[in-house]
Amino acid sequence: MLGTMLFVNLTDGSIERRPVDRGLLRDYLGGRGINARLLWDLSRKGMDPLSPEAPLLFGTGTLAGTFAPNSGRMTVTCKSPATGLYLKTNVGSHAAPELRFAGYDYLIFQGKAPHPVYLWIDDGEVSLRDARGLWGLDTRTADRRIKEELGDDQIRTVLIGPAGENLVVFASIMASIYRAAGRGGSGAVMGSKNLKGIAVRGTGDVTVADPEGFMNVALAARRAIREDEYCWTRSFEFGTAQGIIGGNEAGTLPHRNFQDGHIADGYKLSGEYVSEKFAHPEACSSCVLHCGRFSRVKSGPYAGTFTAGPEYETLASLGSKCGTTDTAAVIKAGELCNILGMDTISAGSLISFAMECYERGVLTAKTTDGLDLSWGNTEAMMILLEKMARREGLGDLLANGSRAAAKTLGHGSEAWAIQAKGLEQSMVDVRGTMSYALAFALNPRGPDHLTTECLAEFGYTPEVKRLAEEITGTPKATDSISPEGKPRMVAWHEEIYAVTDCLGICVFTDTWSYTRINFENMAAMFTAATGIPLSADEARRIGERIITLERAFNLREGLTREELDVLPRRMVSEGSPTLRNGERTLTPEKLDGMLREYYALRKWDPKTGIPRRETLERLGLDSTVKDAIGAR
Amino acid sequence: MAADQQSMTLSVDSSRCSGCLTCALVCSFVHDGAFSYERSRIRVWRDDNRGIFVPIACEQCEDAPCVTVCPTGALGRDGQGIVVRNAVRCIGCNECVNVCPMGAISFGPAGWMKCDRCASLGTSPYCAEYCTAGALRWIPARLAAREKTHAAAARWAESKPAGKGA
Repeated sequence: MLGTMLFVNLTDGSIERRPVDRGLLRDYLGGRGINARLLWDLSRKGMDPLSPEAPLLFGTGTLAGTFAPNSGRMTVTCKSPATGLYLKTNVGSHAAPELRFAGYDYLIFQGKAPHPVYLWIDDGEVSLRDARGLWGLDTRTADRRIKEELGDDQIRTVLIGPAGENLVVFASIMASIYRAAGRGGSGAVMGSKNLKGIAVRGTGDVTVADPEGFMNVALAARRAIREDEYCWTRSFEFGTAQGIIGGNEAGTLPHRNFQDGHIADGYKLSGEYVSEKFAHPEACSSCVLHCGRFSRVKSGPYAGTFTAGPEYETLASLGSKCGTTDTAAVIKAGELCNILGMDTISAGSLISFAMECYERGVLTAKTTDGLDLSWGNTEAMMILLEKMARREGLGDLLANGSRAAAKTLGHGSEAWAIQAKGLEQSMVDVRGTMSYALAFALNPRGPDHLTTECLAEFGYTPEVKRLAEEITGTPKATDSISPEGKPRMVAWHEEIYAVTDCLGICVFTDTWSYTRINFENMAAMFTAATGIPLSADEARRIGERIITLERAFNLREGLTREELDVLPRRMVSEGSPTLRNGERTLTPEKLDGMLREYYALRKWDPKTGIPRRETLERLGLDSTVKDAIGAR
Repeated sequence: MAADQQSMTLSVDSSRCSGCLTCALVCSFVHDGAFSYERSRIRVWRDDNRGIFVPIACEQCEDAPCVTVCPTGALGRDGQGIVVRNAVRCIGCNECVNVCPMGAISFGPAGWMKCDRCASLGTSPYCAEYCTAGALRWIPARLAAREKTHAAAARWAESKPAGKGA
């Protein structure tokens, strides 16, 4: 069952195999956890994320390649060029199972190749191949060329597009062309190493220690998710964009760069509309939920467009937030982001930031290369996406991220950059939901929902409401404006997300299909797969260990809690006119109160937010961690 | 379940396949105890770029070319209508692999491999049970035929107006 770690030194082209250490697997469960430990050990404080010494890690989930529900995912971990901080980003498709069938659970890239290369993994045969002819190509074309070159159209690829090559700080790594390890700029890290991609063909087996036990737990979990009518039906029929109409009605769908939260004709961005007109479900490996879409535009100015997606984030980021409900245009923008290799969340955020600068006169036709950046100008959006990926004109400025762009532009534009720690916020108006606000502030990579999505806060079924109250011990848990119970809510979700990521299971299973994937059955699947005993409580403690180690990475960089646990300025300083008539539902004081309660819960120092020595000891983190972060 | 094997069929509808490959993972595991695309009796051909996925499994053809072409008479039909092989007679000449119009037979890690609709396991097909998208279904053969008829008729009818009009 235990696979191999492949260490690839791109500078001298040497490739070394090491077996996955059983102790490491026991202590960090796999995927995200093992990556976190490797990154800690292989990095030093102050390391430049785009330098040859910076490691780039791919860690498959421990259950990837099996039929455990939604289990085919892998985590990419590195230091982010957008934030200069810890970055883990997770991707689906079928790349992780293919890697495991070839025998490799982890890929560790270090150094920088003398010229563009790609890694070809053909089961036991691993080689670096010349990619000079592929440099500059979009992911779709590069995928095709590689398959032609190697003579097999069933190979899986993991690639960067022009954005990654040009070190755009929100460049993504794309698996099977359209599935993104999107956030934080891992694509730029890959580009800085002259690594165009990975091609893999795996024809071997993935086996488990206890086949009968594994089959019983995994198939029972699959059936439980399938029988969760509410969750499954909505996911399968409408995907993640099922949330668009509700958000728009509640006044929390990002509109005009988060200036308010409602757009006229918002239904055109809804999962219902997209699935009816443009898309059908497309799934990652062993998925039960099928939230993924694959879309095609048949008529109109964007006829001929086809791509996976769009999901909720893309529809809001490149749609309502930029002031448009033109569904076909959003699908086109999504296609461009996918083949150029850019994160749709940040790319849309940079465009809406530029549009607000244009609205307020900080950018003018003179400084936009003649582009009219009025809200909803979809034609200008397409041009700007290309310019960002290729770092041309205004695109070059925006390619550095909104924090850096605002710093250059000045004139108060910092207030319109909806970012914290250098990462653009995902499409949740946290002013209306305190669990999200707290979770976004604490997220080590920056403000988004993929480290902790507290959907339970919305109490959308009686069962979920009960769970939220059980986790927090208060009926206020599902009052999303109240701070009460939210620190406990966030802590529970952080831990279950960490464990889920380690196993390679999709985090949407534990927070859409609440209770069907839980600490008990995840621990049981881990044990059945690896033969390593694990209890539900121990799994949860390992989740806490991983979260603490990820925070330690950021503390080692020398940042204080005031720099780390923050939200975009607009979120804590302005009300939204469409949310409770512009009431200030979230203030710095309210956030600070929740943070302090959270530190106390985690047994971190209430003044500095640094984990205490005894906390680190309880979590089994060694003295290198204690010393590096100055724990007391 | 044996009685079912005759009246039931494994219905494959590629247009509904989402490419999750759960069928292949379940298939390889229940037959060989390992997860592997190579060991799966059902193969899913995939076009990542265009988002198209085509599951292929033995259709247990009525007039099966593999049975006809087999030079040693190793291929035949069991009591449930499943095309099966007599391993003693088989000389591994690959003729069945070559002649199958679906490419549904192969010599893989588990030797001669082909879908037997899980008859050897004494159950209905696992792949259909765990297919989320409805691309693989274990349904009465009569219903499968009628569904085809209805779909063809509906496609034709779609373009027609109601009533004759004037």
